[in-house]
Amino acid sequence: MLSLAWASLRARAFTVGLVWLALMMSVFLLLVSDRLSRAAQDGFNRSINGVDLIVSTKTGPLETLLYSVFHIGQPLSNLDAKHLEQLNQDPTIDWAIPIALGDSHGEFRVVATQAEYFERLRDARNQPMRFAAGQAFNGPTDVVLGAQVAHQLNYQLGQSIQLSHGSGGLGKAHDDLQFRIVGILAATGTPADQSLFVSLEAHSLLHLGWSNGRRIVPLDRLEWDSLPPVDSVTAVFVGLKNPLTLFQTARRINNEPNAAMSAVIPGVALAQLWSIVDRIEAIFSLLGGFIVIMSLLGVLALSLTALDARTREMAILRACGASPLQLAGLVMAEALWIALSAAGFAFLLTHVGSLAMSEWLTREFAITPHHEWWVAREWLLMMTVVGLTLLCSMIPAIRVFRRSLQSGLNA
Amino acid sequence: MLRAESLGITFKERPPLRLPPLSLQRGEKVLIQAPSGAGKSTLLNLIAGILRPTTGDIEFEGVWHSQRSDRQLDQLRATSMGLVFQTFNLVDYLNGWDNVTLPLRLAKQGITPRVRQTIQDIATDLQLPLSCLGRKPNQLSIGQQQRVALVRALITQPKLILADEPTSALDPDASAALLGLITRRLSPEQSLLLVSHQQGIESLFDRVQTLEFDHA
Repeated sequence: MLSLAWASLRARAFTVGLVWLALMMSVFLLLVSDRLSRAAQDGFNRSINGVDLIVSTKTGPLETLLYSVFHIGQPLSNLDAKHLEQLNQDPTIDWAIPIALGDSHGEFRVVATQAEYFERLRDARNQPMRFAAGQAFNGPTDVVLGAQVAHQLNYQLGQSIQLSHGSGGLGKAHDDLQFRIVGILAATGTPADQSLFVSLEAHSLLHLGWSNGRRIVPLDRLEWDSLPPVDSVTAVFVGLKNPLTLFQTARRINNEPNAAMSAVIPGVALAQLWSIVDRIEAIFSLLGGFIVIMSLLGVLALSLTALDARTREMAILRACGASPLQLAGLVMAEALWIALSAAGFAFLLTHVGSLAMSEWLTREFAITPHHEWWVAREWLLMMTVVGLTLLCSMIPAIRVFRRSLQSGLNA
Repeated sequence: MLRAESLGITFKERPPLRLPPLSLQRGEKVLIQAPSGAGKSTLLNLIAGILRPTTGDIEFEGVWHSQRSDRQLDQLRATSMGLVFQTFNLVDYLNGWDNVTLPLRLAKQGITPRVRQTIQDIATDLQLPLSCLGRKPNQLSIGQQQRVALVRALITQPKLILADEPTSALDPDASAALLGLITRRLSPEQSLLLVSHQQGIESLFDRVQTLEFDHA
């Protein structure tokens, strides 16, 4: 019956092909949007890896996450050296890396931190960060670029660039201070790709001699060796000695008697944030579902309109001993062919496409789609489409069944 | 081997039809003459078990159709009957070979070397070039198409061949020649029920029956 169905479809290659294409594209769209949204969610959940806690001044966890990880917005106040010291002395804390934000380069934000940042934080695949070229900053005028910054601005190692005070390209360039590119990070699939990294000393340097947005002391008059110690940071990334102390440590920091600090567990805050973004994804899935239903209607219309033209064929098959059930089976087998091949091809296209586009997606959008053959959700999706097609094909199949019982052969 | 008694059938959108009694002996070749549109197709549908009569019954090989299930009738058609229509006998997306072997495939029978040989023999007897079996119906002449359909009707060595004006699309000479080939090809065990309004072919048959259909 399947080979007969295949021959019948081949004979109507053009119309069947169009319907097949529509179904294939809709399944492809559904698979791609599912894979991309999952990759986006994965990337999102892996925006910060290797960090157990993010400590900032007393704010909500979402705000802390937005400015410390995604570099969106500004903190209302900073932590000072005393807090940093306090964290460093906490017996459960293994390491604490401060970051200071507030500067930018064009549309990209500058993160002032310690060189240890590159050793402690991990990329989206939970691997240590890697340098595509060069190394971590060593001096106050060294800068390290995230992969996307280097790619988009076409910067090379050794080149000199200027950084601006403020963000979003609206700040004033510290035009008398040149930073030398000493390192370019490999793509991480995290917001680090869109960041520039300088030392905390450089951050102080940038802000030294400024008051109310105006320079009052030119840089050439500064004493380079006598830079003041870093006195305020935006947030501190913390790694614990024992992950089991996570909630306990977070609680202790949050319940500090002077209530100056708050500790955010990145995973929890990310999940909260994603639940907001998630609604957009739901809308996309809904749209994808509608598109699939429309192409299924196409398959249905195809087999229903073909039925009248196939009265003769059905009569011949009946004469040759086909039962009405077999004829109904033929109609369903045709739909099965269309659905299986469309879903299979769409899957293959998605898979090959995501393999081919993976590097570009990671570089441009910090999205790294997975390349696994077996993802229960995707197979369930395809099986649902195949099942729905079969269900739809029952309408013409029942019609064939009843007609062949009633009309017989009209010679 | 075939007996039809007091057959009548009621259709949804057509007047009911009463069919005259009919019988056929084993190995008998009977020509049924009736005007077009009289109900010949309905008669063949009823004998083939594709339609069920409203009244009356048909006995084939000692068993009444009413005693057989739909599935048994389908199998009967695939194995014990060969049907040929006036025109358009072939499934247009299958080549000659696949059309010929269709009843075997529908009855889930394998195509053995012996079957292949039988197909070749029948094709040769009906003067059908074997190359025609590799072509699609639209690449065959009407005469060749009818021959392919006849090979298919004969392939299962059916006990009864039901033919509805199988040669009416051909010119009279070709028609008579092909009918001659068919009747000669039949074994003494095989019966033929051929419906036609064509004149001058009566001598090829054992018996001619004129049917009067009663459209009540």
